[in-house]
Amino acid sequence: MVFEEAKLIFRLIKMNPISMAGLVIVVGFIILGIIAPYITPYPLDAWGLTYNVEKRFLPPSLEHPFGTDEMGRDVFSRVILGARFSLIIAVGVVGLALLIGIPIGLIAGYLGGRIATILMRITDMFLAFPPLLLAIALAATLGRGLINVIIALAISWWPWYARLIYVQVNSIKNLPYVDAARIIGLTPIKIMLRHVLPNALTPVTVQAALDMGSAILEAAGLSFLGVGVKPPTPEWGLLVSEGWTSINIAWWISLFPGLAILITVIGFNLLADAVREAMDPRLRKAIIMRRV
Amino acid sequence: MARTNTILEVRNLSVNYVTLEGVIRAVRNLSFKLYEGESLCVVGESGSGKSTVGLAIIRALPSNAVIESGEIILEGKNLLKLSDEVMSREIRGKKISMIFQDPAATFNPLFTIGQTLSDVIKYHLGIKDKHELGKRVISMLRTVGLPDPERVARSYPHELSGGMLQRAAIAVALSTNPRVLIADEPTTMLDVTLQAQILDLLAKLKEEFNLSVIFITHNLGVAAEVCDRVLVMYAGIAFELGPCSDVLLNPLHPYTRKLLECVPRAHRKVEKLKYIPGMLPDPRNLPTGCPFAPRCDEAMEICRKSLPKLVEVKPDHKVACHKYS
Amino acid sequence: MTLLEVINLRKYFPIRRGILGRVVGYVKAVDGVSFRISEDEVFSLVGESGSGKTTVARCILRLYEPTDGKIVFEGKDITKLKGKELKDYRRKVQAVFQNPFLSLNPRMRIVDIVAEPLLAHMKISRNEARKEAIELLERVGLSSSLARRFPSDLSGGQAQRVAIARALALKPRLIILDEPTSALDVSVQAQILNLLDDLRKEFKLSYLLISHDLSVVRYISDYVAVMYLGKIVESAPTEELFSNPLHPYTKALLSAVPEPDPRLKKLRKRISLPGEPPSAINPPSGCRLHPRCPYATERCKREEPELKHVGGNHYVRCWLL
Repeated sequence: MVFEEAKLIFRLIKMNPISMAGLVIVVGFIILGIIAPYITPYPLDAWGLTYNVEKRFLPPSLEHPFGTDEMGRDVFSRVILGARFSLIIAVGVVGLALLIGIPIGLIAGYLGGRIATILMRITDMFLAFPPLLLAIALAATLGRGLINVIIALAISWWPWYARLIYVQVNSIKNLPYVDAARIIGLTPIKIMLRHVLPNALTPVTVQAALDMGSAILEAAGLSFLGVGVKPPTPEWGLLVSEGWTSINIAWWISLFPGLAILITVIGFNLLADAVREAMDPRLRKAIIMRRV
Repeated sequence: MARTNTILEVRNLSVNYVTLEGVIRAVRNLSFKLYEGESLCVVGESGSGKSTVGLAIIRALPSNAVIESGEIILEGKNLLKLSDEVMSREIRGKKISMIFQDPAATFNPLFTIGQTLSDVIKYHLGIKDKHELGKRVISMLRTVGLPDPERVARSYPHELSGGMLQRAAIAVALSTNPRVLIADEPTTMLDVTLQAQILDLLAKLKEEFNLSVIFITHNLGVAAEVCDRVLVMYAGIAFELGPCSDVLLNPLHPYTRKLLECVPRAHRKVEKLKYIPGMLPDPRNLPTGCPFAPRCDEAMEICRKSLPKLVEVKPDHKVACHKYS
Repeated sequence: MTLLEVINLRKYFPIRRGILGRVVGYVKAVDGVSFRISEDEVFSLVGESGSGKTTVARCILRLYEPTDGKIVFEGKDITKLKGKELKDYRRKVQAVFQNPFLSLNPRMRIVDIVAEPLLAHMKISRNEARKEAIELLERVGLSSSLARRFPSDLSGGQAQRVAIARALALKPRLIILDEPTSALDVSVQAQILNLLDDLRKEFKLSYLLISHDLSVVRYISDYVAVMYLGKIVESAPTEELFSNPLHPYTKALLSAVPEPDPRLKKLRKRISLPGEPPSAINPPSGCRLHPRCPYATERCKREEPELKHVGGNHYVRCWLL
């Protein structure tokens, strides 16, 4: 039944070239992220393990389509491998945020009362936390690094998912099929997990999948500012900042990773819009009629 | 009953809905006349197309609806050929008004009842004087039986109960003195005693405002209360059209007859309820021939092959059934 | 033999205002309701919105905790049951709701929906439960080919049959039917009503029917109680109530029901109740109907009448008798 919905949404997306573009970019990004380590032309460069002083600051050419950077490394390889790290960050941040946010929202939503008030107040507190400050704090105490970036962002992110689930669960728990589950004599935990949660997950999972674009952007921002991943990790944000000082003489070092961020995030946003439109019954009709 | 003028005529109307799963043929080749001053009930179950008819007349169909063919004639003009602008300005809400199952559909939740009413009067009747508008709003609310009309005018839709809101919706519909009122299941969401009040109100107002009414309902009892003539629809086509008492007491079409037999009664004892076997047809997969054939115990070969046409079998009483052709 | 007895049931819902959630009043949804359901009986609770009939049902199902009063099932007061005893009670009392598409989990296959109660109460394997579920589905008229479908694949009538199969799974003694046919098409309603009747005879069930549809009530009930604003105002065996209604509200209710027979329209004398039912937060003094009752007297305004027996198991709460 979920597959039917997914197939339907896919067909609706196919009807609009802009939506398709978004889908293609996102799928392309994911594939790239998975196979990246195997297709980099200069793998050692990509991982930042080389220093070729004679190849420094070479402009784009056939051998180095994106040029080389201040350490003589092939920018193209680094950008490609960067996709892998961006993918890890995206999945990690969103995954961890869901792992924290869903149980909190579910319990608060279903049990209500004082527990809900406490849990939701805690959620609000975390919502007020600026991610940048948290990242800086973590970087200062634990040092920079991929894991710390993921943790910092996930901590600032989970309240959104908790809120989303909370609202969903609140409306679902009063539906007749939940009453029916209580009348059968199921325990509250079983009801929460088998009846409430599966039906509450849809908007959240869609939102989460599409949030990955924002996660990539925020992580890139943190890395650019120096509180994200550690060099020589070829994360796109870090790549942009590494080329920043030499931007006058070697524009290609910052430009291409910057473009990568831009295209990926736009792709996610386009896809997000397309999915949202496809899931709304009224807008769905508009999509169909545009085709006819 | 003396035959009077035809005020609205629907000719060969066909309406489709475009969906991803295919084309739904909601209304197929429907023709009927609405006489001046009468109350015509369009009766049917889900998928019969009855609501689509109402929305088509007022041209408020959803965006994936396509009017494949047909004409809707009001005062000599085909409404389907009018531009959106003329339709909004001259017809919808002015010559033909509509009330819905959910009265909240008539009201913008951000405006008070009084504001909505005066906006409608201003837009359609061109009255701009605030004092005059105010008088008309209060008078309209009083006409529909709302106690304390001043307070209702100041209220927002969510502050009123279902019954009061439906009265207010009727006030909006009638404020422009329309010739035709389309009522789409206006009492389905109301309790029985409220329903009786609203039906009484509509009957009274029909006389007062000299209205011609198209009343859409799935409830045969309500139809009996309200109508002069009945149009029975099934899966998009008209099965029977005739005077109320004729159709309900001496139904000609097997579907109408069977439907009446399976309605439980509050006013007499029913020993065993008959039922119609099978299910309503899937609108995406309509059978060829008569859509009722799979469930009809009088079905003949021809019923599965061709659609029956509406023919006059008794004076003023038409049936679409191969039994009669 | 009495199966269920409701004694002086009250359910008040607190109204809270302000940040601290201070209680400023109560919605008196059910305000002193008593009745008895026997074995093998179809008992109907009739009323309009705000009458409290649904709240009574939810108290019996322990979806709400009563504010006061007792509900005695097979000799035990079930309002205080907990844990295993409550679970055992749930085997015996089940429910079917109005809208099957809301009462069935849209993400579960229908065979699993019907098997779930079996798995929750009996130590059987999933396969055994599924087999028995399929038998139940066939018993309510659904082919086993539908077993792996989801509720959204079914029609309204089919989905309601699934809900009925689920209610039957544990072989309960009482099934509460909350407007079981209101959301269904006319031609399907009759199928479901006849099915319910057949099942009752086969499984020796009792039904508590909650409905505002008097024609359905007349067709399947043995006994009817009419509720208004939290209290029972009249109760009698079905035919007695319909042929000899005594309470003004019952009379108004009956006269308001439209009938697909145009001749009756002229014959029936309509007793109309002006206005709308008041809120249950501050019910009127004395008899709750007095602001709307065409026969209200001074006494009706001051004193609330008791439910009086007027013969033949017929009870009325009215000063005029």
